[in-house]
Amino acid sequence: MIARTMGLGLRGIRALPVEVEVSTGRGLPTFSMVGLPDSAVKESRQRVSAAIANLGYSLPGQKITVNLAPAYRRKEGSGLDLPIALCLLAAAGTVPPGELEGRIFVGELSLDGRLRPVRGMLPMAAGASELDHRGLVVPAGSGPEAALAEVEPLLAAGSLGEVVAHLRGEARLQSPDEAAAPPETGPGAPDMADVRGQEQARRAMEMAAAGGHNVLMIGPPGSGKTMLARRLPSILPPMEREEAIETTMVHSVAGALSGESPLVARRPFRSPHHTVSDAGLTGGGSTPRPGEVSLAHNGVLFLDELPEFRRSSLEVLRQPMEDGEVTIARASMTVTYPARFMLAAAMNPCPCGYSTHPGRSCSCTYGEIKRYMARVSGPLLDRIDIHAEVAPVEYSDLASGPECAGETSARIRRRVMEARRRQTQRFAGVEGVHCNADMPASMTEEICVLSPESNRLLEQAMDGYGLSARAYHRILRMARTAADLEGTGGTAPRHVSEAVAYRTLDRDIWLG
Amino acid sequence: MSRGDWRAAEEFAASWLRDRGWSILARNWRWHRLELDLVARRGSTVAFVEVKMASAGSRTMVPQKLDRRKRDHISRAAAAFLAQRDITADCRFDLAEVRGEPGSFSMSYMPSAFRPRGDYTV
Repeated sequence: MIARTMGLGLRGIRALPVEVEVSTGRGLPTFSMVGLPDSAVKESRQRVSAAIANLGYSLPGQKITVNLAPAYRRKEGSGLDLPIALCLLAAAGTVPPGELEGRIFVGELSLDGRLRPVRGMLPMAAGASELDHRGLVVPAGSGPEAALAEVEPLLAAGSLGEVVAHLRGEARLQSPDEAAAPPETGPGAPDMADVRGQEQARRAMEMAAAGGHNVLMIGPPGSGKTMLARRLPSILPPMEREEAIETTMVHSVAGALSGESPLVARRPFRSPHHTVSDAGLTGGGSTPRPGEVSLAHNGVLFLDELPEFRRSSLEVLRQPMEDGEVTIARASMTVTYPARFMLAAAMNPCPCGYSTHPGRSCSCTYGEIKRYMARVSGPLLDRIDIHAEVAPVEYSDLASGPECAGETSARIRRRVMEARRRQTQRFAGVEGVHCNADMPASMTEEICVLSPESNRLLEQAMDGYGLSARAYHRILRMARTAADLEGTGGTAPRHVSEAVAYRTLDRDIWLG
Repeated sequence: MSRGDWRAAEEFAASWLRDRGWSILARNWRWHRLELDLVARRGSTVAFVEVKMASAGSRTMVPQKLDRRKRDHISRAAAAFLAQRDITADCRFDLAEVRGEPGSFSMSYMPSAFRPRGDYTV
């Protein structure tokens, strides 16, 4: 007797359709599973046996072979419990086998037969919508997430018993409602208005958001670097639905979704500690999981205390920053996760932190500062356009009442979106370039044409500060962003001078 | 407990099975080191029955009496038995726990007490 149906596995953030076949026959009543199951799938034998027994049904008392096709791909996760259990019940005659054909089932079983939500439901459901099928059945707990993929028909079940009743025509399963997007702003959501003073740094944040530039903040401890970075997502344009779905998929595969609101509607803000491992940053594991760079997809990756990160950790960031995705190769499988994020980093100007502080003296030696700065130099720094100096907060700014609060995120965001709109028009039809920061050098010269006046200013700055050719292109890009924020077509000298101001580290002010 | 008691217990289990429509294919079947207490057949089902004696006061639950090694041993013996007799059937592994003294036996019987861990080839 053979029963078969479809289940879904995961491969990166793509669904892997798995054909589940169960064959029963004469012989010793063994229960074997073939088709490269990982340990979670192998353990499914125990869950399935217990769930079936606790529903009052019995396993066929025969030799049972479960095959998961395609046999050459490793199957991971517990979502195959439900299709395996249903095939067994079909083989035992409890469920009409014809009802299983053409349907797709996903769900982890608990010992009493209840269905548990599974990791990666959204990508699986999205994969199912591309398959030819007559119904996808998912656990009730994963229903709202699956509904985001707009797959039809979609049914949610609370337990194996409910699925069996549905297939026997004794009861009907319901379609789940799509997950509602959580409110964009709510009480406690970080807002730029919370930041007192810091006009320069706020402007740098706005520039970064407007042009998609990576940003490095340098300032003494307690000057508000982390606070500013946390508010960066609130001034970035809101996520498009497509972006939100993509980000949700990554979080779903990582098992990082919250139960109440499975849709990640706000741009993510990830701030890994500096002791993070390389695999934690880029993703990894024997069956790969997304890392911080992928969890920050379409959002902000914040590296606080940048020089404290291990050199190797900073090195592994280069490839994802370049490609917008990260490929992880492991013995079991090779997967690619999206990783298009904006990098925000923060550091002190010296090990003690006070070398730029107007009121406190620095206790570091020249050598210490030099070593400290050397840790962030190199390839990563090349990919950071904006070096923003953050000054300590003035007492007068702090003590001022709420009426002196800075501009709200919503207002800044409006300007940012306007600037982004200009960029979208400019780069329409150009593959891989979405904002000013994405422009390759050749394109930069073509697009950021300077007036003779601006040109002269830039020349002076380049000579005076000894800036490199690389810095030159970055300055052009940022000048363009400044002009976009203002809404002017050409880049004026004031835009150039602002851009030059963001190349602090090129100017070597600390090592003078 | 003497060997005679054990024989009597096995006989008790066999007759209990016969009363329920099973025919006994083998008793105390041995092949090399492999051993089966009782093999019974009813229709297309073959049951391999392990007979255990329990002293009157023992409170151990039945399935725990069979550790993994013993289960493997029985599974392997069953595979050998089926191969030798050239039988194709639905198989199950039962456990019969006999208590008491000869003449006043009582028995708890557990059908499908376990499933073999793997395929055993002979």
